[in-house]
Amino acid sequence: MRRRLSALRQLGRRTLSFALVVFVSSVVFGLLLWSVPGAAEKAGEDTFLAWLAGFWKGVFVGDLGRSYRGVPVYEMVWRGALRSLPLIVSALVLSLGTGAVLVVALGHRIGGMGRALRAALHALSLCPVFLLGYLALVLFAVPPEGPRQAFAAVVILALGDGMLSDVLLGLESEYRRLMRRDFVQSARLRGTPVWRHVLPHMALPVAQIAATRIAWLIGGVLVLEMVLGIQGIGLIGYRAADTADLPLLVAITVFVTSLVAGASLLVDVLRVLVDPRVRKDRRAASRSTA
Amino acid sequence: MRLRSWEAVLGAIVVSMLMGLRLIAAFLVVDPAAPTDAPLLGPSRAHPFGTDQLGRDVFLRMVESTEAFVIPGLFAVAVVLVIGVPLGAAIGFWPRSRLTGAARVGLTIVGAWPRLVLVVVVIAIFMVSVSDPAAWADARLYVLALLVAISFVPQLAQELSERVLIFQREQFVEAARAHGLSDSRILFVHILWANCRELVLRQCCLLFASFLLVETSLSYLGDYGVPPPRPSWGNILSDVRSQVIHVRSLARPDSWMPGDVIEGLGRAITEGAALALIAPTVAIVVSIGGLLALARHFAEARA
Repeated sequence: MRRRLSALRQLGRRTLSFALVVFVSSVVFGLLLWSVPGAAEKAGEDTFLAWLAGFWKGVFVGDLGRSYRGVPVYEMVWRGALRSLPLIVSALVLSLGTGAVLVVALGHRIGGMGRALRAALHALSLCPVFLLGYLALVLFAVPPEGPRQAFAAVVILALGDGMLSDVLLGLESEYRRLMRRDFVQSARLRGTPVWRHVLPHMALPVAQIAATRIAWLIGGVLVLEMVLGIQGIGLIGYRAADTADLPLLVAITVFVTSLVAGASLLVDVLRVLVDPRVRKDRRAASRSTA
Repeated sequence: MRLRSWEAVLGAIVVSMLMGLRLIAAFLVVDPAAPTDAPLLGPSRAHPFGTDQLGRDVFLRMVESTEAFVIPGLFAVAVVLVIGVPLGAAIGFWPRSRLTGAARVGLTIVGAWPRLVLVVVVIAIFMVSVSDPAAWADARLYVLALLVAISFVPQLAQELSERVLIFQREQFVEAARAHGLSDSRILFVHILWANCRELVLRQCCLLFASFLLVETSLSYLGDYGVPPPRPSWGNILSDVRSQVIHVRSLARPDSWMPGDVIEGLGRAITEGAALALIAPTVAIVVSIGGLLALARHFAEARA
């Protein structure tokens, strides 16, 4: 009973911290944009606090006013998110999937070919996202619309900016650590299938890696959408930055921050669900994957 | 630094090449906007990488591009050393203090901002707010460096604080305390300098690489990176965009036999502007690769 209570308390604390991160981000970016000359007049509010209150009311009511170009902000953010989120999620899945297959394959010693493939992927992963997007445009003439473009975008996001490289290294070190544990050894000796014991233990590290990579992916999406001309949240944000569009930019930064913070919150929820001990050790929680 | 691994060798070569090119660029007196020859020449002795569509020497522009990131990148490293290292060390050394607790919350908040989003929003505000953006073109790169550094602080501080926390419980720290050494001496000399040097160096390499990444990305996109006509590896790539279709048609081989493919590539290089496309690509990949290799060397130096 007491254990469950402490788990609940931890979750409560994490949720509070999530709310704090998102709220403070809205204050910081709001203040920065408020300080731009002429922003206060365009916002139609006298003080920053009044504007902030209006903004948060708008978040829950579903009406964030209009951007400087006169388009409803809420609708714009949603439309952008519906384009960008599938890209981000599929890039994560692709990258983690490829990484997992490679790690397991190389863990069982595939030989020279596997190592060469791994080295090639690491080298390719060095390319910045904008460069991969540019090369894809140049070499493969990616069309400005349609499934071929989406495919190219997902592959580029899953590779570029060191994405696959980092995922691969993170998964590898987790896998190695796990394979050395006593219970895996004993499962091996008993002759029971090892993966049944390994899989649940990999769930948390994989989720952790995915959560930390989301912030990188959002940066990648911003650049890639500009290069390929995808009308997603990154492109909308980049265009809005040009005019220091207060309502739109704050909405986008708050949305993006809540994605990043939400992902790490989700990992903590998963930890409570998966790990019966509910570790108090914070170090395991925030183990770096870089 | 002893060169014990191939990572260290590669990293040392790349870093010294970047520094060397920056030094050469300091002695070049070239007007970045002025044409030096006819546009779109192939490679020759006078212009090793040919000229671009405005007749500017691509090789010189490649060298001069190092001005855009070497010193600002070092500036970013300095910022992180001044802010991130003391912060991380303090959080690890006094984990129960209320002040460091607040610092940790602050780092969580900053850590939730994606690097490029922070950079783009703040640079845009900076550009709109200053009265004469052209006069601030130089300062813009340093603002960029400052922002990349700030977005890097949580990562460094987190890793450093974990490490300091481990060392802080070690016996040698207790022994040093018993000898009457002050907290600051134990922290800076015995823990940071003696045991966390490699970790900090590794993060510095990662930061420099990520600054290069952000700078070239933004310069490629235009608006917030290096202001043209000043060159950057990113905007050399975007300048050559108009030539891409021509280069593609030149490079298209008659068949997929190796000989024909090489011939097509040669055609694209001598007649088209293919080198202006290949050179920055290779430069970016090699630079980032070298820096990451160096970072790995430091990670394994004391594993």
